[in-house]
Amino acid sequence: MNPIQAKYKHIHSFIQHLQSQPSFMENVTHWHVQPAKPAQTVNVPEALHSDIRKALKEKGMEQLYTHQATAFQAVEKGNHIVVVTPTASGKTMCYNLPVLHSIMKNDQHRALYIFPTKALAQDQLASMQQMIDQMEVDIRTHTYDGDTPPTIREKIRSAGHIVVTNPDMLHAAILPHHTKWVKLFENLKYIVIDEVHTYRGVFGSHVANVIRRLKRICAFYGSNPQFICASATIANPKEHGERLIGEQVTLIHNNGAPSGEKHFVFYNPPVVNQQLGVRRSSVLETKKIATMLLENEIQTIVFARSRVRVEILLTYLQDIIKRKIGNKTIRGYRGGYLPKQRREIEKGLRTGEIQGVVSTNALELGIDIGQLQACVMNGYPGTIASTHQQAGRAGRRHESSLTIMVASSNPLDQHVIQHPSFFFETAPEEARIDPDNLHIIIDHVKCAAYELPFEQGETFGEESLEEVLDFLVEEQTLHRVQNKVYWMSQSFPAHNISLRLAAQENVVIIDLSEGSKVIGEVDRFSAPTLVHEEAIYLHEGVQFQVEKLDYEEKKAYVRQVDVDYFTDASLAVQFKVLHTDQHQQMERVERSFGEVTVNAQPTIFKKIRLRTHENIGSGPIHLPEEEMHTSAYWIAFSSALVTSLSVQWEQALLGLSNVFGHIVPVFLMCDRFDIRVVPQVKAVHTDQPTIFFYDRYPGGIGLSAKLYHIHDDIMIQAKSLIQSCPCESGCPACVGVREEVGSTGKQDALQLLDELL
Amino acid sequence: MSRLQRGLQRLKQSKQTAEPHIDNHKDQVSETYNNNNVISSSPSSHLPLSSLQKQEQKEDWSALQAAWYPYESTGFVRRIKKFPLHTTFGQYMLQQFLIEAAALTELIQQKQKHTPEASEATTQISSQAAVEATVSTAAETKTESDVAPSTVQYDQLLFFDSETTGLGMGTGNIPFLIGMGYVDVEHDAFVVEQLFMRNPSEENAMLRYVKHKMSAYPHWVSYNGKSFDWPLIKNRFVLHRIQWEDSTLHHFDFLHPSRSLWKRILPTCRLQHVEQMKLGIEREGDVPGSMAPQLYFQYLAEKDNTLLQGVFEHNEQDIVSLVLLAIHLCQAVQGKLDITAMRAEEIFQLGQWFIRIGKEDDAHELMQYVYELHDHEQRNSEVTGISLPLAAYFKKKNKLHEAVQLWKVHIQQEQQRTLKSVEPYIELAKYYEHKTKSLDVALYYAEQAKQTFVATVNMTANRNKEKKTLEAVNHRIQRLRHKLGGAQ
Repeated sequence: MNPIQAKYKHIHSFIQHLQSQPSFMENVTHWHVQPAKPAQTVNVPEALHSDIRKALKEKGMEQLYTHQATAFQAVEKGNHIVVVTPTASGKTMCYNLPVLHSIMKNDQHRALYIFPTKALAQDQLASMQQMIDQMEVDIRTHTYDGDTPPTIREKIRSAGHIVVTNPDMLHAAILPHHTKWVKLFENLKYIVIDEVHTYRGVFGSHVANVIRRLKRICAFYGSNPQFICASATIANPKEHGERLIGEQVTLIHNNGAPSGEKHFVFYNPPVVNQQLGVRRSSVLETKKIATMLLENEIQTIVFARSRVRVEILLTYLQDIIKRKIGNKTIRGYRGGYLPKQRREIEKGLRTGEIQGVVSTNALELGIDIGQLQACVMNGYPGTIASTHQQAGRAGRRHESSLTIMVASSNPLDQHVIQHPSFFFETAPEEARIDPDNLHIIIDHVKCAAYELPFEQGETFGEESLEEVLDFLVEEQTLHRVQNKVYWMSQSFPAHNISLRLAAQENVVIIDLSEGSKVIGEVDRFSAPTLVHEEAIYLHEGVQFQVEKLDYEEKKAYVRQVDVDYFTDASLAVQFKVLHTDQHQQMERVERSFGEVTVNAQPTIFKKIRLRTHENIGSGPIHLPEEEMHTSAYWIAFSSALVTSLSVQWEQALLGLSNVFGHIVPVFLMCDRFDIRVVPQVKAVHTDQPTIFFYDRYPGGIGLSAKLYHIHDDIMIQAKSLIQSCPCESGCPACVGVREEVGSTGKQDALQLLDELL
Repeated sequence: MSRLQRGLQRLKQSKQTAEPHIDNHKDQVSETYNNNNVISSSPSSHLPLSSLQKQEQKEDWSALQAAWYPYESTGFVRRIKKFPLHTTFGQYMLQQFLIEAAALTELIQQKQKHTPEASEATTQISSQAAVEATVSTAAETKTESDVAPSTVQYDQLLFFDSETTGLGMGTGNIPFLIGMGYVDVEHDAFVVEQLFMRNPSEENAMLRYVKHKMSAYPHWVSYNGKSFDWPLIKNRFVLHRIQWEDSTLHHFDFLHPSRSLWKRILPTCRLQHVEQMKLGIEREGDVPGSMAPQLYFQYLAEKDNTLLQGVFEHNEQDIVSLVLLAIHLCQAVQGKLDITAMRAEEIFQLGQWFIRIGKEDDAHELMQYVYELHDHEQRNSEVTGISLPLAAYFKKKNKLHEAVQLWKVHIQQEQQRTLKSVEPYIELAKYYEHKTKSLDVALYYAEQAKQTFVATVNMTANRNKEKKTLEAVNHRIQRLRHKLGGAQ
């Protein structure tokens, strides 16, 4: 019996065992079994180059999955395509086949592959190389990124058939030096963009502009490449793909790949205080379930929603598992870890040396960590799409798999766990980008002008460029002569523009415990609340206290400590409305969408005891105020209402905002840090009780705008959530705890909602 | 008003409030452009410019001794300056170039021999600079192996240098002034011809002229042109879709020999430093190259060409200095320099350079000369810094007597220092063990090596190379003890 079969039996019997445990089953609100799905295949298209067909045959692939064949045919017809399939469905064939086919027909043809991360690029390259080796042909593929040795760069530029890179490298290294890539750009036939669903929000808006620049360069060298995109499941793959690449695309979603039986379990921790509606901590329950899986030698991935949660869970699990299966086999994985550490963890997971991993959504992406058997989610990941992605980490190779979602007490989790149909029957979320965000477009117009002068009337996306160009001419960054606008500045614009908010403005965390060593980093926006002085920062399960935050130099100095609390910071926010774009006056409520200035200032932090989560102290945070122009959506209650409604306004607004804060990210498919909800009893602009929603990115990225349009949906969801919560007068699962929103918090919030519907 | 327009307006406002102290120059600029803006709301806004350009063509450049030069359908500004060949700068007269130029042929041969080695060396470094270096060496290899080294003639050489709008090698860095220098035999002069674009619309014509001019010369001379000026100019050709096969041309980049000769002697190898220290040239009121972009941008905004006077002069002097440097290098390569006036270090570097260009015998003479200095009462201290590499040279030449002398000299010199080199002790231990078979002396040096090593090297650093050295020393000591024990 081979080891895989052994594991299969093992997880199968474990599932049965679980189902026979009343103590476990009484907390299960839903047990969903997705039956195994057989493969749907078709013959390998005759049109495909014979060498490739031969190689496929040798690989044992006599047939193609339906989506692979459709993709090939659509590309052959000359269409841009977006392929949407779940994890492990052989989507790479969808782009490798047409690309290899084209190069086999004409050795001059070139292709550019773009992956969101270096790790993914390297993974894909390895699998493609295998295929090429099997074909025994001279097709040269290379990754071109920061790790590429200088000695082979020149060769890649002139002779690589397939260049595999990431958007950041394209932005800062390839496009500004396009004259060195003449051979590639003159012969570029295909641009492959994988994981397009990750290019959303600010990052996606930047990437859409990088693609505009890429197309501009291609046009200059006379090529007109076809785009082949691939995406995980989202609601609007076609629309999103079209916005990202600025072209019409054909959607391919006839997934023909087989899948194993999937068990999806909804688990709601038991109520421990009926009156307050307090449930057992989801962290502790996750710990319990993960321990059970790990003790049964089931390779498991645990997803947690924040870095802090990852670290807390890691500490717990390492502590318990240490004695039984040896330390180091449970690892953490999240954004702040250094790349080398991450590669090591990925490898350990593939080889099976690592038995369990606790991760943020960083491992949601297609990074090859091999096949895991079970997945435990600490809390609802926030979006349907993300949940599918995380669950897809278990049972990739067609065996039975188990995913257990452990709900936390936050309203969204409670809503989802009690309404399984929400998850299983609703379409996943939309991915949204705003390539015409002023700040983003200005950045990329600079880069584009550096690359090639702008001609009069040239378009760059949809909006007319003339005004942006005039502005930059006025700024003396560009210079206009006759009908052209030229870059005219000493700087190299791409260096000052980072596609990822976090990448450029990172605050580095330096551990002073032994000498000084960089142990991680946090993005600038999170720094004031994560690494303010006296904050407890967790890294690989070890606690560090921040001794000094050098905000100017972007360095946080920490020292290892051993305390029984973590810290949580609060932020005070002020608004100034600059312009109202859209406005609706209802009888007693008005709602508006427009542009605002937000001034945010971190104020205090609380110390919260581990495990019991009680508040054991606080302190001030001394950091400068941050100012930002962005878009906002706000709802104001009329003064008539203030007098007529007998509610505790402050608490009612806070309670309602708590609910919005939890559910709004679901509708927007964004990170919960991307949008903020702030209640104000008397807003400066309206002079009335107002709730503001704003995009946490300069200029806004279209989140608030969307809210203006889906107002009713949100209100309905909010109302149903509060109503269906079994607590008496508010709990963490709805409006918040009584201490925060008062004894009438729940009714008050509902009263306000009635006005908003 | 669109969202974009409103955003822009706010951006402008916030810039204005953020910078309350706008200097005069900026005021004027924004005024000019504001006027432009008023017109620019209609699509025909930029039409007036063409008449403006006609006016510009009449612009007076005489103050700079330059003039508008129509070329192909447009044109650019050209400045020609002729220096009679009997003009003297510092220690050389231009005339000398005509006599010496042929010696440059030897530098071509040097490249053929050594390029592969050089590119291997660069692979060790992983910096961005190395990337560019590797690329240019790779290109070089191709170029040079194709060209048989015929004798270089003074009228086949074109000297060039450019002033650019920025740093870096990207496509947005534009050479706005390209200077070229060559000998004009008919007029008994050295000519510096400078091409200047008043704005990027004149670049195309300028580049075509550059191509026309430069392709007439099989040999080019620059200072750092291989990794900077030339790749940038090539970028421009690609951008203007002008084809140019340059592989038959040979490019001397004098930065490379200058580094070989003076890297250890001069604080930097920038041309200005080299010309001052080695050619006796003093520039007066020079506008440094780093100012050029700013001055050019200011010119673009104000159209006052007198701003550029200094930039033209700086570029011109760079080209003249290149000719003088050529004379100097030719003299050096022919062994015509007066080595009695040089310090040991410099002579040693000259020797090393000779080895690199395949003049082994000449090199040996120099090395021998430097070696003699160690015995010279006044000058022995000059040998201090180079005694180890010099010893290595003699060891390689199997002149062990000299090598041993130098190692001992080195040990002597370092006696008072806390940080000592291990190398001479190891070398001496090897020498006495294998050559003279004086095992006890060898053991003495081996033990000294170990002591020195332990005293100087920070063992916690745990570097592999150091670890290996120490292992080797320990091994040697053991072997020597064993041999000595066996003998007793």
